[in-house]
Amino acid sequence: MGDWMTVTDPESKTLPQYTSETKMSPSSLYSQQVLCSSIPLSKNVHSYFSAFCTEENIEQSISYLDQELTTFGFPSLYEESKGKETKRELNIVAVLNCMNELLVLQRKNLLAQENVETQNLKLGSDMDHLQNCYAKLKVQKLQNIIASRATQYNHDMKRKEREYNKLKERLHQLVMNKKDKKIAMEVLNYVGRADGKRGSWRTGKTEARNEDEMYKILLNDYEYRQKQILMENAELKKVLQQMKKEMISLLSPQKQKPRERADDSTGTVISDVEEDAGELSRESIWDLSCETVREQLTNSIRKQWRILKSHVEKLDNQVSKVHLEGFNDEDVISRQDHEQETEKLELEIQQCKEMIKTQQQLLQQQLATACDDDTTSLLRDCYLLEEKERLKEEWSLFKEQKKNFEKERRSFTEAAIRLGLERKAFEEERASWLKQQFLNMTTFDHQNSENVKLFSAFSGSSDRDTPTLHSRSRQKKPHGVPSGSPVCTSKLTKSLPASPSTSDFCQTRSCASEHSSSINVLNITPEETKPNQVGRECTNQKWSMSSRPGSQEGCYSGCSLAYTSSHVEKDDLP
Amino acid sequence: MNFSEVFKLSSLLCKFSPDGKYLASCVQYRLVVRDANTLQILQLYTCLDQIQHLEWSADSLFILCALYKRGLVQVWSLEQPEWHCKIDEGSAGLVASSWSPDGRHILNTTEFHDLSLFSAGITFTRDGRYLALAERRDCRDYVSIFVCSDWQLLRHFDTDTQDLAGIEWAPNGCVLAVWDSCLEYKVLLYSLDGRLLSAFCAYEWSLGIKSVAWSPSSQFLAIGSYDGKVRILNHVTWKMITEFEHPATVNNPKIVVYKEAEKSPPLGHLAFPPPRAATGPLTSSESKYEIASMPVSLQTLKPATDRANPRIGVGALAFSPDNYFLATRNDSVPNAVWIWDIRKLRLLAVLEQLCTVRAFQWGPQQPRLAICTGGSKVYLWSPAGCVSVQVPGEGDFQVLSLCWHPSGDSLALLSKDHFCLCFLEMEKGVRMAFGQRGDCT
Repeated sequence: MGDWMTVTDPESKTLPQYTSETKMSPSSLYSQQVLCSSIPLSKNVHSYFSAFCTEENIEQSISYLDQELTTFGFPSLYEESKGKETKRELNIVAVLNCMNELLVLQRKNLLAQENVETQNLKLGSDMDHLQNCYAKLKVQKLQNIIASRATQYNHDMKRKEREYNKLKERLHQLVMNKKDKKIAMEVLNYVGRADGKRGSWRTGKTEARNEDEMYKILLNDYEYRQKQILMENAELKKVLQQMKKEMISLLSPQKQKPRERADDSTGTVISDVEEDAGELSRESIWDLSCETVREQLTNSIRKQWRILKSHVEKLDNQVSKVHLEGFNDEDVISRQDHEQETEKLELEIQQCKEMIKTQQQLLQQQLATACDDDTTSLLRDCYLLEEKERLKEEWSLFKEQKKNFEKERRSFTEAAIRLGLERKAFEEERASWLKQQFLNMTTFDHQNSENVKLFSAFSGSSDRDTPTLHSRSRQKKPHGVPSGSPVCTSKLTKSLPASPSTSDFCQTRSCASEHSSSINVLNITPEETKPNQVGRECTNQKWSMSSRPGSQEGCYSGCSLAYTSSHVEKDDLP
Repeated sequence: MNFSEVFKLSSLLCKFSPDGKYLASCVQYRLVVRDANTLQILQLYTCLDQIQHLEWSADSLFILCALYKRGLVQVWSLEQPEWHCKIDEGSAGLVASSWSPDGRHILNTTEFHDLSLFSAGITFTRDGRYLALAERRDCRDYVSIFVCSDWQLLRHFDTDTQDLAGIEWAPNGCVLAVWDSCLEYKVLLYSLDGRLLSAFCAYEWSLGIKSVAWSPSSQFLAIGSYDGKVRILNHVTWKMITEFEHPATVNNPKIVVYKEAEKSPPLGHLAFPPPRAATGPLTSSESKYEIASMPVSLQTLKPATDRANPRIGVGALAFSPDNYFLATRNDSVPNAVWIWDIRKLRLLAVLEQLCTVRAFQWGPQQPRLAICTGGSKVYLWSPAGCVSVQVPGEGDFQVLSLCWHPSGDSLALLSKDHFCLCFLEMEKGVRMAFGQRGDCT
């Protein structure tokens, strides 16, 4: 071995890892190799294995292995050589056989090792068991010793006690014999006697009485205790029933969620609820401590509790699953997603709230401000379409009414003209009749004064009209009509001096009232439309102003004038 | 809080009359009866020898003085000071003497009687109708129930105990609890008519029961045992409903731990509790309660297990009169008093004193616990907080025991040679120290 070592050492650097110790015996080397092979094959081992034989030292490794194997009794790896000096060739068959043999040996060894290990474990557990038994035995032995000692001690004690009693008796006798047996008791007055006389007045009656009393006391005590226990029982039963109800209510929402896993439990819950409803009614009737009732109650509570427990366990499992596996289950929403959803919803809610706030603000602004051109423009912007539609409708209405008014106006003017003409004729007739009369009866002076009176009567009537008209217009003012009225009155006043004839026939006009009433009707309707729109209000007011004095004929023409003026003004509106 | 003058006392014999009007105290062989409020001396009686035991009759008319050494019992009357009764048991050694509930009979327990009675084996029902007497005959324990009105024997039965250690009636007078000695953990519950209702055994082969207490409503029976736990039995099934442990470390933030701390720091170390063995009094400096922050470790004591009466186990139990609290003391943590909330069945507060807790007693009306540790202070705990009060005086007044007035307005503090009265004002008047807590439920 030594020769070989010196040859191989410089060439194979890795060999010394195996054979670094010259003193190492082949068997130990072999065992080391075996140990290495028993380790599960890893890259290190592979490299370890390959470290033995490389491309350079094949011959040396073969010769080394051959030597090792032959020492172990394996056949040589080389082929039969003809001469000593020639190079020996490798017998591949022998190599393969040797490998196989080695593998077989390896397997055997592994099995043997396993067996040894299991045996070791068994022995260890046996040892523990035996030690425990030993300890227990020791304890038992000691206890037995103590027991025997205790009995011995008791015997001794009893013996001693008896002896002691005997001695005491003797001493007592001796002592008593010597001294006087006098139990002296000096009493100066009535007092109780000393004890010692047991059972002196022991009659049957007193005995029975005592027994009775004793039993009475005992019975009272038992009854009292039983009452207490019954009360406690009733309270506990109440608590249990409440618990059961609560458990049922807790579990019943499960019915609505269809889950595969929870199918059995829901089924049982439904059935339980039905059962328990029956039970409850039964129990309320049987409020006694029957065995069966009690059992039923406890059984139902146990059932409910089991269901609840299994439910909670399932929830726990779900939670743990979610934590472990992630978002796989559809039914289960992971916590993160849940949180995201809630955040989203919260954002939405905030946005909606803000929107509502702004809308409310705008509404309030709309209500608060007076009719401005700005606001009307704003409103126009907001309610453009709607207004347009409405306005269109009302335009059509207006036009209709306008037409009607025109018609009526024309008819009225014609009538007025006719009236005027008739009046003229009548006046002329009157004048002529008066003339005749005057001519017939009176002088020239009287004629003049009459004429003046007539003239003054006319003018006076017209004068009378104007103040009444004024008063009427003034009366209108408290009706709450704003800007329209002064305009109308001024126009009226203006109109009056222009055509006193019109004022005259205003008085006598009766059909005007009819018309005005119809106009009233016409004019009222627009008032009923939305008061919210400021522009509309203004027109309404103007119209109402114009409608009211319709009953008073005197203003009609003036009103018609006002109407026209308002109409004109209305034209400003789009 | 007002303190009265200090008066002489011997043998820690100082008792209020049941009606709360008088206070009887013994000084050597003299019996002094004072008014409970003014402490004026009303009567003075002279007995034949040193008084070992003092007891008022239930109607507050008579006082019994037992002179065990002489075997004499002397009874004095308050209404008729000239009257007095002397009972001579003679050579029969007097072991114990007590009144019957009607105040008309005296039961003397003697050693040499035919039936040797245990001084602890006698108990009256609260209403005074029945008497249960425990006796041991031929190595067996028997319980006899008598009707007090005519002293007739009602029931007589044996108990399945090895060595009966104590009996006690429930406050409702219907159940009798009988427990075994500390060698065996066994509690037997008998009905008034002698039937065994239930037996309770928590564990075997260890030291058993150390102390037993009924709750005032008879709903619970608290059993303190040598394993440092208190087990509560309920009156319906007589089964354990909970056990209270007394660990040396308290870690629950809901529990308030009041630690007594010196106000003025001592010369040497800082708030270092003196070793338990030092029975010498603390310097009469002020102390106050501090609320300790979690976790709190309490001072424990390693018991000498090879000696008799080891200082382990729950040695003292007391229910508050309103049934809401239970005060316990674990002898292996001797400086602490543990207060448990019975409504919630959990620990409410722990009070750690600088010295060993000697005695504690609940006030008769309100849930106020008075604690004394042998120092010159008395400590009061109530659900609102706790306070430490220094007993004023020139010398050191070491409070060894205490005794409440039946109305709960005053407290008698007893030391070796003196006693004084502490008058408690209304709740608002009592100044509370640092250890106050808003929410105590």
